[in-house]
Amino acid sequence: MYNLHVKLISIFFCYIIFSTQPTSVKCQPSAKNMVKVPAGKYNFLVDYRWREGLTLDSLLIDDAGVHYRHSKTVTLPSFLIDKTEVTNEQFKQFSDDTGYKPKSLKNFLKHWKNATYPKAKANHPVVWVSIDDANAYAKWAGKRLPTEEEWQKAAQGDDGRDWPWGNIYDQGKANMDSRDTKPVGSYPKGASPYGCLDLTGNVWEWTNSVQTDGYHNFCWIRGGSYYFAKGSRWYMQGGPIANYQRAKFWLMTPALNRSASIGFRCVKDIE
Amino acid sequence: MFNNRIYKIRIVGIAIFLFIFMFLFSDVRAHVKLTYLPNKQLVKNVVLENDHVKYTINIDKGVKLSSAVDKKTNIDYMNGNSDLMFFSQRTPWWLDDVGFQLFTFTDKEDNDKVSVSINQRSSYVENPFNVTQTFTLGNGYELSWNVLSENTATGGRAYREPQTRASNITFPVMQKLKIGETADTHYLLSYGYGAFYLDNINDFIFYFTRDYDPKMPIDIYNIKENRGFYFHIISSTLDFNFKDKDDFKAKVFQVTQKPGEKTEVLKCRISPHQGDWHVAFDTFKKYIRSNFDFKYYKRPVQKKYRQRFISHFTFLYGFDIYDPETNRFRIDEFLDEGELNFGGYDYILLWHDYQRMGIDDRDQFDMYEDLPGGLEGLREMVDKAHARDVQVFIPYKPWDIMKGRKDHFKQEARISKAIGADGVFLDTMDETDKGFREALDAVNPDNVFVSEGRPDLAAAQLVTGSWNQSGNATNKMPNIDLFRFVIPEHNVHNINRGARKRDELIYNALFNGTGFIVWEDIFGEINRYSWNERILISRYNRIIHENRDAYLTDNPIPMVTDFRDDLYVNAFPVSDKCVYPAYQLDRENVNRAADDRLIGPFMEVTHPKDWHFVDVWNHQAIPVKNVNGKSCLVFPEEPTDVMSCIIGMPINLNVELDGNNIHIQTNKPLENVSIQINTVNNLTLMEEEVLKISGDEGDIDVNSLDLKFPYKVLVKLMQGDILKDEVILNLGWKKI
Repeated sequence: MYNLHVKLISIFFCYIIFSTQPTSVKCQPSAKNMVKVPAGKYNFLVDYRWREGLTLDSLLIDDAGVHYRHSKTVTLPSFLIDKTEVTNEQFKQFSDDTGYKPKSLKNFLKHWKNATYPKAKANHPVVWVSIDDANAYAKWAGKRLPTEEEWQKAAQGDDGRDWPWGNIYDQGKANMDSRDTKPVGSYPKGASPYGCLDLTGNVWEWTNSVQTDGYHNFCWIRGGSYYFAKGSRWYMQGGPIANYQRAKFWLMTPALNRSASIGFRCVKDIE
Repeated sequence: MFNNRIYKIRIVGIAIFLFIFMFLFSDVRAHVKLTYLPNKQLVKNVVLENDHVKYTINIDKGVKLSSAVDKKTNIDYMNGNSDLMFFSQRTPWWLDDVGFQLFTFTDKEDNDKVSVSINQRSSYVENPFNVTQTFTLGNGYELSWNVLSENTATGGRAYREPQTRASNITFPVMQKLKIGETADTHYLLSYGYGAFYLDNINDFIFYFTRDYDPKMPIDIYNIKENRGFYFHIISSTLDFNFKDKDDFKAKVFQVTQKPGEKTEVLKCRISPHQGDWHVAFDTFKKYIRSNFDFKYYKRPVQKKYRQRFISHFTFLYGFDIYDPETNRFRIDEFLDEGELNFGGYDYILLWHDYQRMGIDDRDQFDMYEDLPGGLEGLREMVDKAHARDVQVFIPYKPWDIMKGRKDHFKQEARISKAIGADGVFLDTMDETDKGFREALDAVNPDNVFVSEGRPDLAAAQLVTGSWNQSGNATNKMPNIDLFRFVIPEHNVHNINRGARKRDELIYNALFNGTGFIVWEDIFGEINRYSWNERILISRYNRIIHENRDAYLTDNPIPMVTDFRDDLYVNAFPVSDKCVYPAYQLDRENVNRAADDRLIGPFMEVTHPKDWHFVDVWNHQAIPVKNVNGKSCLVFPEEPTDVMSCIIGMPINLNVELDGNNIHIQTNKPLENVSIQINTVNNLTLMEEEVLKISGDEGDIDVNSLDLKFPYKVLVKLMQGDILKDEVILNLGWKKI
């Protein structure tokens, strides 16, 4: 009798324990292209140069110049994140399935013609999508946009590295200064510790960080893009953007918010 | 046929006319004369004279000014001075300071002017500078004085080759000149960086354009004797900037010349004068303006723009202008709020690109297309602003070169035309290209340039308005924006975006008659104006608009003379009005129990006797009192604020208070007038518009005005929106 009790209790605990393991995730088809980021604490540190109009964080003036720094320890549960940015092909599937039409159509999928993407760009990240468009896609896919903390954890792992692949900048490991986007996954050597690709470069990525300061709406975009405007320091910084850097993006009309250099990837909570 | 008699009459007539003409005008041309005394061979003195002035130059081991006699008053402006060397150049080695000068003279004489070039050098070979000073006198008081120096060093001492020589230079005629008692002598000097001052830079400065633009003349004047001497330096290789008057008196200029090198040391005009430093200012202004092309200031569009004082820097991403719910620009509400908070805007500057630009390959021109409604939407917004008489400016970024476009000017002109903009703001620029003007003129000529940087004089000929971001210069009262007084046609806008306190910046705008930019959203970074600053701006806004007929005079006078050391007053006079913005420095240090308080007569005025004066900043009548035969303005009470703004106007309103009835009449009919009854809000000193009577007379019941303490009623005669007269009824709490 005692043995039976022990067995029953053991079975019960085993059920409890194993029922929280990833093996029991209800995988959507799209979850196949996701990678798992383990739970844990890490130091979320962002540090970026001063520029008129960027506020909210602590302004520092030290040997490195005038810059903002924001640092906090965050604890994240384990989550899944898209291995690559969402592609044109994937977005078309969403569009065809749902007939999605944003309220303001201007510049929506500007690079598409006749409701479809250029053939050669099937596997390129989708661009010319606003954060609302991205959210609509994510909802359809049973996912959501990553928070900044999730995005950065996926990029830098536990060791706080500067670039997804390590601490040494390497222009051969991301699409950071070119004329156009490239197919997602073009830089396998640029993978992050968890196997995420193209977190640096190719396209900026929307994060789930829309907020207001009472006077404007804005969000933080991460990762930098292929585009690098040159000729003036007053341009929004392009080219290589390290893991700990962020760009404040003042939101206005969707037509202006959509851009040839901003795409997104999604995350999924592990149930 | 030819009629002999008529012909003769005509000849005689012409002869008589010529005779009368010559008789009348022969005296107008001054007789200009050059004399060597006792003669050219034994010359001791050279005299240059005309009907107004006589300069005597002494030639005795140097070229010295011996006397400068004003023939009208017979005053010798060199009284109290020994003969003063014009120019001294020596090598630093003390033994070089020996020997005598060798002179040669070259003169030139014609009807209009006489000129003498005096060439000198030391007989001592180690002092190798060959100096030529040229003096020219025309019909006026000014003596032109040019100095040219050449290093004629040959091999000397142990050196076989000609030597580069350093030298010390002084100008004793300037630096040692005394005008009466030292205690009453004052100096107008340049500090550098386009700043000038009287005696002490710590009190206040005049700030101009750029250091390389012409400087105000150096002026040495005596207040008590009411006379002075100016030295207007047109050009020089030397640094004519001084820390203070002692530095000026003691300064030794240095120059180094290679063998055979000629140095144009000085091109200068000097003149004795009656009065104070204002004579030097007038000379300076005349000189600048005679070398300035006003072509773009004569356009009708500039006349309209010149009357625009207060503007708003509109970051289009802010909720104040952009409504994210409806995805539209809420222009009407935005302008309403501007009226409520700042008294309204004359123009707004739409800011759409920085900091966003560079995220992708959309440049500044592309980005307009993506704003709500595109260019058409913007056009609608501009039309709505225009309907409220608010102009709209758009920015231009020269640094936006990502696309390598060669047609920037055409692109900006295209946008300007499409949306109907009134002006182009030149971001980061202090000058622009004529090609830009031509591109705009081709499609939308009714607009102007306003630059972010302060243009130099050359650039200001094309750029007819500019921001004044002079930082501390504008933030400190009572600094004077000299540019505003020299080229008043140019529209200056005060702004200091990073300032955390703006009261002096606002006072500065009222004091100098410049515009003011409201900018609270600095590309997303909020720097809110305090409630007090909102009130000050609203009050400034009303005053500068209602009195722009005088503020926009072509002859503003900086720092008119008053009776107090701590009171600074500018003047903006026209024939039927004069605005006197006045500022009391360090009022907080004035003992309230002492006689130093700003009460009583403070300034002499010479306006017609039928004028009266009101302080429209503090809302008190300013009586005129006869003091020792002079008409003086009087503060009956200490002004409420450190700032005052006194308006003088001919008396036209006749306001009588009979019981509770205010009876208003005008003495002299004017067209398009109305009577406005405003009361004063005691919390803010802002005017509240209570009643408007069209026409020039009427009766008002005091009880209908809903008066609040302290019951000040302003009866204003307005012609359109211009103040023509104002009577302040101080009803007082006891009377109500």
